[in-house]
Amino acid sequence: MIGRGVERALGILAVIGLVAGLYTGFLYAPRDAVQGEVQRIMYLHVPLILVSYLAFFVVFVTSILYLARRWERHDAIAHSSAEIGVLFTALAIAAGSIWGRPTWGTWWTWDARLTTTTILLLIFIGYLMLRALVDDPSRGATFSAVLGIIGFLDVPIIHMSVVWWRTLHQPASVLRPGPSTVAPDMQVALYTNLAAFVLLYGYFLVKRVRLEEARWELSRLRMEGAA
Amino acid sequence: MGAEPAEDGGGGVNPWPYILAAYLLAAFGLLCYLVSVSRRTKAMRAQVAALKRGSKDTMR
Amino acid sequence: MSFVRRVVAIARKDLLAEWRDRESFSAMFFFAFLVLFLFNFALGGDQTLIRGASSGLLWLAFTFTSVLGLARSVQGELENDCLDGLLLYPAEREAIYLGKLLVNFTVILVVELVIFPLFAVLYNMDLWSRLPKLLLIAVPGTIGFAAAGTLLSAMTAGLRARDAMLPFLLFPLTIPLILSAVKGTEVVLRGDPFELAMPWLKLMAAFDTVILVASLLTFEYLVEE
Repeated sequence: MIGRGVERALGILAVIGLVAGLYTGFLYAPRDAVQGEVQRIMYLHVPLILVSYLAFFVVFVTSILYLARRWERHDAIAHSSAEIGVLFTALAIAAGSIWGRPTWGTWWTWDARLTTTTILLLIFIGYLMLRALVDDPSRGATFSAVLGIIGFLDVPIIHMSVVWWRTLHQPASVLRPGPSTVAPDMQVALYTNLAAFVLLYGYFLVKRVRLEEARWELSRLRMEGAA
Repeated sequence: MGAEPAEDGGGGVNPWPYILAAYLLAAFGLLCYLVSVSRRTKAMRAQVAALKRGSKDTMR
Repeated sequence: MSFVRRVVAIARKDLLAEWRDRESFSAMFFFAFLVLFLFNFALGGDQTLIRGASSGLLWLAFTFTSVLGLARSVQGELENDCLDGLLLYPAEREAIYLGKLLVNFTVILVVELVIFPLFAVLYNMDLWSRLPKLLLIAVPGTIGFAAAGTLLSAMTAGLRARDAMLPFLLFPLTIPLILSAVKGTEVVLRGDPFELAMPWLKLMAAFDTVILVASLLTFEYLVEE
């Protein structure tokens, strides 16, 4: 059981990290030689994507654990991490799109990474919808666990297929939303923001798992009341 | 990517509305989620407390 | 009874159920024809455009019709409460999965074998001479699609929004499959050397392996009580 103190500490650390991230992203890191200021969106977009991959990996691991041990805690973490992962992925795609508009002239490109990320988003939105539609909580947990495992295992295959598909489509100009080079002080900004978003994910996760635990208590009480 | 001279991204386009839009959207989304989780937890806890109180009442 | 015999027995039971349900089975074919027919209007009657997009259109027709078939087959079981009876049958859960997979695969393959000539006639393409190579691409694609579809229909069968949930879960997962199948079919239809289709075949093989192994490992959790 994660105590209130840990939750608060995570929250404070996350805020500190985010402020540090904003500082390094806007004041410390230099202006990109090719894209100009707009490249600074990278310090938001890339950490959001990477942390969402982390979130879905957590879903994958806790799903396996749930099928093996049937501990409700694993299911709670899986559900919570999936929800946060979907949020971060959606925001990452939105930020990437906003970044793309002034840089490449379009709101959307079918480049490999963006396409794969969108498919990942679709898979885990499906995961959340499945959860919402299954009435029996234990069945919902089992079905979601299977979907979470299969969905995550599919991602490398999806990525490979989309990359091959794109390279055959556009051999010369592969659009990649990224700076021309990642200078060392840019890296500092990137890693600072990455750490900040990992902390934020941790904070969200702890809070969200608490909600799940409250929900079980409720269903347990209801069952006892009915007995 | 290319030997292009340093310029504002996109040639003269003001980048700051886009940067602001991206960051504000992210902040808004994250805050909304935080508020949603807090609200749902509070509601859930209220229901749990109500049930506990209810079971005490049935002991009459 | 050996494992294989049990799989075949389950498959035979399901196939018999499909055969008895011939009306909705033929509804699938009418749907396939309608989809092919609609392509003409969707692409503005431009025959060159349609022939150019033929590989994609074919696989759109396959996947949309297959989803219909997948949903139907589990629905029949649910309506007659057969699943509980099936679970009493002394077979490992893997046998149940494989039996259903065999049936779903067969049904989808039959649909494809009907759609190929229909498409060839409607849009004046010579598919007959290329049929063996087309099947070489279609079979691994169909195996993967049927495998994922069988697993997901077990998950979505009892849901309220069943008809929407199955495609919504199935399509994102099978994108690498559809993508590869379309590319491979394109290679065949353009008359390019078959080696160009090899990377796509490898991708489909990778997908099929992963989905089959994962399904065999997890299916029992989906049907246990």
